[in-house]
Amino acid sequence: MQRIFFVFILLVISYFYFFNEPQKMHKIGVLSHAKVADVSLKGFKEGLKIYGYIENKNIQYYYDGATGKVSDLPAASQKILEKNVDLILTLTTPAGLQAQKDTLENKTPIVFAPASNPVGSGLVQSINNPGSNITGVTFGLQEVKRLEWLLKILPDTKKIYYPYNSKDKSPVVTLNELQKFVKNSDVKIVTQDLKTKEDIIHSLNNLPKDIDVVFIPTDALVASNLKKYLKVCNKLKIPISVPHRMGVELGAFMSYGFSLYELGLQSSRIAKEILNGGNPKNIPVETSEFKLSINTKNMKELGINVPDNILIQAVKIN
Amino acid sequence: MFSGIKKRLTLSLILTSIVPLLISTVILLYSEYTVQKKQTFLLQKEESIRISEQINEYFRGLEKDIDFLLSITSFVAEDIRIKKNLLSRMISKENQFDRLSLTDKYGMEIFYIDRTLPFVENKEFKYTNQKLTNKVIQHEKNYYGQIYFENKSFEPLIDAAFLIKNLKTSDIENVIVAKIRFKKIWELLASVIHLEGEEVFVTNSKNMIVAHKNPSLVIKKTVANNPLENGFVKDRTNTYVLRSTNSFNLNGVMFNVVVQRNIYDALSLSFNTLIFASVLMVVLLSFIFIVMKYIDKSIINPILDLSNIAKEISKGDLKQKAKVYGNDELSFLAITFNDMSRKINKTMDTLKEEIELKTAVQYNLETSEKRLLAIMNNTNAAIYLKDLESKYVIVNEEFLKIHKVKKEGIINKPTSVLFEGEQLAYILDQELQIKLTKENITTEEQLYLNDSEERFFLSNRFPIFDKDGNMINIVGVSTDITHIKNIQKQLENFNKDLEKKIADKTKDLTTANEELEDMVNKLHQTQEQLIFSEKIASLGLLVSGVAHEINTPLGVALTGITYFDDITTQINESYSSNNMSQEEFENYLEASSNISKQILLNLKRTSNLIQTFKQVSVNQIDEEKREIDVKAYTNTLISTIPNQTKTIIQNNIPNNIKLNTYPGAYGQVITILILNSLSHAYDADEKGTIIISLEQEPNQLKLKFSDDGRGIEKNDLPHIFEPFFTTKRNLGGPGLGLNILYNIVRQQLKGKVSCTSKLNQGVSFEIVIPIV
Repeated sequence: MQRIFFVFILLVISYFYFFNEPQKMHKIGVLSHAKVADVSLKGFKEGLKIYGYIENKNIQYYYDGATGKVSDLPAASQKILEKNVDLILTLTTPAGLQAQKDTLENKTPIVFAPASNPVGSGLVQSINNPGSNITGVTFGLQEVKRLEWLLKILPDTKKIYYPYNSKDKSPVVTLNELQKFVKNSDVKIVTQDLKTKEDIIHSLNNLPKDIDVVFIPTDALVASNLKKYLKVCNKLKIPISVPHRMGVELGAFMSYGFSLYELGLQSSRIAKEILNGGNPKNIPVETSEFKLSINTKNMKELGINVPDNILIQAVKIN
Repeated sequence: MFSGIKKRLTLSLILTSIVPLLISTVILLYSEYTVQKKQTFLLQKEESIRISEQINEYFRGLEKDIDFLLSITSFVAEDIRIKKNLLSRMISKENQFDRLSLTDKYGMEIFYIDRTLPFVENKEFKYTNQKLTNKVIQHEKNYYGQIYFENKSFEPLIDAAFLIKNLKTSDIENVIVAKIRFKKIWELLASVIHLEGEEVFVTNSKNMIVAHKNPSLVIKKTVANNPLENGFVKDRTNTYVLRSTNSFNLNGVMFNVVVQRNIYDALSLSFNTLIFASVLMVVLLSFIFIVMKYIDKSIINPILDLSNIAKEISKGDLKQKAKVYGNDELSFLAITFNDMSRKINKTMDTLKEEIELKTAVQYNLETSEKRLLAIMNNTNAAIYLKDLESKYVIVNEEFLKIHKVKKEGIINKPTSVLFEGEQLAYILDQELQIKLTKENITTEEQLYLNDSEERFFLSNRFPIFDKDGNMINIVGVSTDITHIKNIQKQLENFNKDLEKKIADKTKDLTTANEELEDMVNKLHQTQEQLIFSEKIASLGLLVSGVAHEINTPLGVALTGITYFDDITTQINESYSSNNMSQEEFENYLEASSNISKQILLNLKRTSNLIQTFKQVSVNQIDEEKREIDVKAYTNTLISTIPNQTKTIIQNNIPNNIKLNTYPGAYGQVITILILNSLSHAYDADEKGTIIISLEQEPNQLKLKFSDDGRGIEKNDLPHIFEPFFTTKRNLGGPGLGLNILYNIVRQQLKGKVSCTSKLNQGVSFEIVIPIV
């Protein structure tokens, strides 16, 4: 009698144990050195929320904000790893590389959102077969296409100002492509190598006089100081082209590229797969969508007349 | 048997509960399985058809978009810049195309608009998907090419060629070759509400997944496992799924829309039923178990107990009692059963007692009969038992032997079989008297057996009565006394002879007695003579001892006096011849002085020896008896003995003991004992203790003397009272002390002396003196 009762109780307990397993609290560490990329995190969180991962309920984010300097990334990375996180979300290419370096042993999954050139920078072996603990969303090299659009909108452009950090792979590669595209035209690219924020301030104070347009590349340092460029250039009535829509929303003239928010959203699906047990090495790197964006307010301020047939194709931002 | 009942009960319970449940579960499961399978399959099929239609719709939509472009603009007539602009707008609209190329009516590319790449003018014309454009131009119909994967993003793309005709002439002017993206279809699949465990994907003719809500699978170029196979199939992940596929043809391109669901989710109802039924079965089994336990406890166990008790009782153990469990019918049965067994037990006890009693009686009877027969058959008397009609009932062996008949010839036969005439009349008369008097008759009878043999019998006849006092038998015991009679006669003759013989013998004995007395007298005389001879011999021994002892001093004295005589003769001669010098005279005087001293000493010694020898003869003390205080007298004796040793003499004799004795004899005894111990027991400077004590008994005094000296050797002890026995002959002891003591005690004091000693443990003397 007692034995049967005991077995019955055991069955009931095991039923509640196995079928009502308490929800696991997932831990995600976020690593970034550029504040501008935080929008991606916003999209990422929103995406995971759609998939049922509610912050502080069944998912926890460890993020002390962008480090500002690349050199501060190792410390931030260590801090994240100490939390024993289930996944690391990196918002910039250097952050991705730092996380990759720090997870060589424990292979904590990493999702980059984004990394500009994941194969070239060595984050993954290939787009459809990452091969290690890292995968994510990239945005491809659409920069030449942006220049094509820019020239289509501003056909009189002769001099393009290109501020970039020569230590960052992404703007360097882009620059080469751009140079190739304008090789046989009368358009010239004026480059400005920058290493620090101070360099940027200095360069902005000494902008070349005859530049027609500022072309902001996919450079973390430059992108993070976009507001400084906007402040100076809008005053000087020099249009600024930015790589992604976020910049246009902040006040730049145009962009042809991805939306960081949407990219974050896209990357959340990959993260969901990993949290559900997927192995990052088998999850291909996805490419974000990109679109032409024009800030119509800025357009008016600058006194630029964009043809309707172009305007009709763009995402208009007021 | 009872486990059989249990089995049958359990089986019945199972048959009435589990089996129907099992059957209904199987039926339910089967119907649920078939219904759900069919339902799910159909739903999935419907979904796949719907999605197929939507995909088809999507591509048709793209075609319509192109048509719309042509219908609202004079596309063919517009210049190239506007054409570029229009196509660019097509791309920008929804990002549905990766590239749009415009060719001339021969399929040569005029320009292209790319989603990601800028247009770079090529000086030379080239074909864009020439095969497809040719097909379109040739058949004047839109066509789709095969699906392929883009190099960089690994996105699947499909080329489509759309005809552009001159609205007026209807001639083919241009062809638009579009690289159509699948992203929209992915989004479509993502927007479909997926049920639990459901997967929806689109494959091309090579079974490659080109659209999935998870783009990773597409980018990875995942191959589906037999997408055209419907029903239960094994998926690419080796799990079983219920699959419904719908295939459709898009202008020559095959698409398969697959909707599949994990088997567990697809048949969730059936599985739930199965689980529910299993749980129910477990619960039922538990219930059956509990019920069986209850039945076991309340019915089967009591029955089993009763059965076991019955078995035990059948084996004869009537003390067993059935357990009473409660107050139901079984308990009543158990109580009745116990009552029954108790009664049986009681009856059995009574029966047993009776049987035991009867067995004992029978045994006693048999024993008695055996004893009787043994007595009867082992006696010399002829015994017979007759009934009141004088017929023989029992006879013994001796009877048969005497009468020389067999048992069969005598039992139940009348007396007349053995006797006749006067003898028969005599016997019948005797028996008649017994019947009348009912008393014993003992007679001596002279019978002539077997006609001639004369025999004497001592016959004892007596009646036997039953328990009511009625005479039932007459017993006769006839002892053959013929031989005794003969001996009696012989004895009478022998007695007469004997008297004569005794008279003769008495005479002889008197003579012999006289002779014997003479002989005894002679023996006494011989004995006295022998004693005398012994005394003479011992006297001789004494004399030779005395002679030996006094010979030495007498010898010395004799030698001395001889020498004195010589020197006296010499000095006389010198004096006579006036030749004597003063020196000579002085020498003589010195010598004579020395010699006389020597002689005197040896003669004194001789005298002492003779005194001592005199003491050996007890009779030398001719003194009167008088009463002495033993303790005081002994103290006086001790004080007179010169004691220069360190030995202490303790007088432990109690006060006020008077003894009427010869004081000299007593004193001598004490003195000898003390001197003996002082001279023999201890070494020169040894410190010893001598103890003298006395015990007074009714008729005697027990004088005890002991020392703690070296003791006497075992071999010497029997000889110490012998004359001249000494261990210190070299020191001049004659060895007479203890002999003197022995003679005084025995002869004068009429007592006894004994000595015990062990070497190095002292000596103890005990002298018993009778009180006269």
